[in-house]
Amino acid sequence: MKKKMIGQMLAGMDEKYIQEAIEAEKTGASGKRPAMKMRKLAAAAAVGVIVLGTGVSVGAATSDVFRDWIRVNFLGHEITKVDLPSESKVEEEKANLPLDGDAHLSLAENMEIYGEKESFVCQYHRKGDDEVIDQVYSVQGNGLKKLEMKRFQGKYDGVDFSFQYAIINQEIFGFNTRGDIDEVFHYVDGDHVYANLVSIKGETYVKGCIARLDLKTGEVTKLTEDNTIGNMIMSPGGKVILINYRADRYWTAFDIASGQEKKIDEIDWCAHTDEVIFKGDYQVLTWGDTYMKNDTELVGTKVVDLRTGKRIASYKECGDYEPEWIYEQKKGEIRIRNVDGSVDFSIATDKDYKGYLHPLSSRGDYVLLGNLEEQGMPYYLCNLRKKTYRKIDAITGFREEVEMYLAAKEGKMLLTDGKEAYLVGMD
Amino acid sequence: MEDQLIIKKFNERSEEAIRELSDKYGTLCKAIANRITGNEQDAEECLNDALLAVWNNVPPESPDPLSTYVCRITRNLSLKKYHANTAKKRDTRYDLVLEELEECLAGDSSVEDEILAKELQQSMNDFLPGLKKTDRIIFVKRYWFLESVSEIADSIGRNNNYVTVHLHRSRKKLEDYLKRKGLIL
Repeated sequence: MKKKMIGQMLAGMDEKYIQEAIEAEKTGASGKRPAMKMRKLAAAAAVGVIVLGTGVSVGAATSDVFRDWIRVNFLGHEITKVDLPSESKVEEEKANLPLDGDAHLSLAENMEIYGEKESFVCQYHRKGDDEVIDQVYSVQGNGLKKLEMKRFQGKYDGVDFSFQYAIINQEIFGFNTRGDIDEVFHYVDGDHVYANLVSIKGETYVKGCIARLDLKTGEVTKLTEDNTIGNMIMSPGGKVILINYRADRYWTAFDIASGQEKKIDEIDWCAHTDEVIFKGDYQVLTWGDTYMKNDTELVGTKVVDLRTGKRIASYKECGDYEPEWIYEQKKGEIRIRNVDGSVDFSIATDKDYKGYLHPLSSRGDYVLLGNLEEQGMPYYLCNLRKKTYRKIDAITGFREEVEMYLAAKEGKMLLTDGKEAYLVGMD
Repeated sequence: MEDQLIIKKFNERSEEAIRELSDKYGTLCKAIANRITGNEQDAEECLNDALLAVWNNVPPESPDPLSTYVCRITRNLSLKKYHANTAKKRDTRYDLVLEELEECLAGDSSVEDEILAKELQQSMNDFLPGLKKTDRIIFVKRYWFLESVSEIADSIGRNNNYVTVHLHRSRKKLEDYLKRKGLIL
């Protein structure tokens, strides 16, 4: 192709992509972290909600199409309609919300789902730029259950901080944070939880630490010095907190039980928190070595033991979407492999599938493949461990947006068209 | 100053508008011009011309977002300057970046040039949403803003290898996409 053609192709680039690149520079949305640490806008990042493409036809904008689509695509699976009361009714309800009722809540507009393993379904309203969470639910077999919301108040070096929280099993979800606190880590250790306390002046983090909070007594105990300012992730079992000191270009592993912080040189300082994947509490999978193949520079992955700081395995490949998983699309099939070779299977796809099939959402063992830009093309819901999959037809003839959320632990999908919501068994 | 306030000042025909626009987007625009023209003096000239163009066009236009509007004007003016000087400058970053894409899109085109140009513009905008957000930002920074690999790496907090690998993958995806669309053979 001629240079001139390529120049013309680039010249016609849509404003929104140019703006996105400019915005990324300003906000760090492309993954950039400022010298210190990015301030989180909400209590935690919402997880896994995807908006399946809206239909293009001018068909009936009723939920009939949505209901029919669910029935056809999930025939033989448990399907439960979830009705939520209106805001005024929320106060009146006690435990499990009724399965039937007329007062529907638009999930698409003011519902978000959070959580590491558990699913905290949150109802919120906006106050300026802030999201204020009003009610939190858990996913139950027959619907959503309202969770008890409590409040913690403490001081970081004499300065107040507070947050509200809800607990499911051993996971806490902290929200509506105020004052000198950045994040409540997910693991509940008896009456104790852990948090990242911070003090910010303007845009600059002046100090920060990891602290243990006693939910019963309100006691706040600092576990690290006040120079612990970085991006953090907690291991699944709450044993270790990994800290990325981007300004100083290194990672450390903080062992909660011993209080020891160990520098981990094997983790690339550039790697972001979503590129360091915990494999249990003491091992992580992350970016590996780069190497040349057919004049192309490629990158691999490696497993690092956090107790020794040593690399214990290296792999030649690294997934495009998640480091651990490789998705290879060929005509009529997509091959799914784990970089360590422990999982390798293919699923049949539509032969004339347009565009790239890629993960839209993944939670636990489940991944939903699709392409939101390709109208009318199906989705594929895979269980990576069981090596099974299900094809889900695209919704057509429907004008509303459909949101889907994978509640992995419960093995259910929450589907909503903004008017009605359904819980559907995935296996 | 917020973009809306800058636009308001343009509407009031206040010369402060140009100063504010230059303060806010001058560095970004000059960097684009510099990368295309490869010449500091030409870049400065393009920036001034771009600011003047905004002054002449606003009002009646009321661009939103203002950033992409002024960047696009600067880019177009810089390309004009580049093409005017093209005989003596063949090694600008613009050339190098186009060559990078040219290499991966080496196939012959299957349709007439004029039609192809329009199809390609649309295809690019259809292709971009299919990339991961980070990959898309890297792609746009490289091929629209003409940033160097290390500039991109620095701006997104990654290393050069990461950017190189991801650019390569995106180019490959673009090539496959255009082949599937029948725009290259």
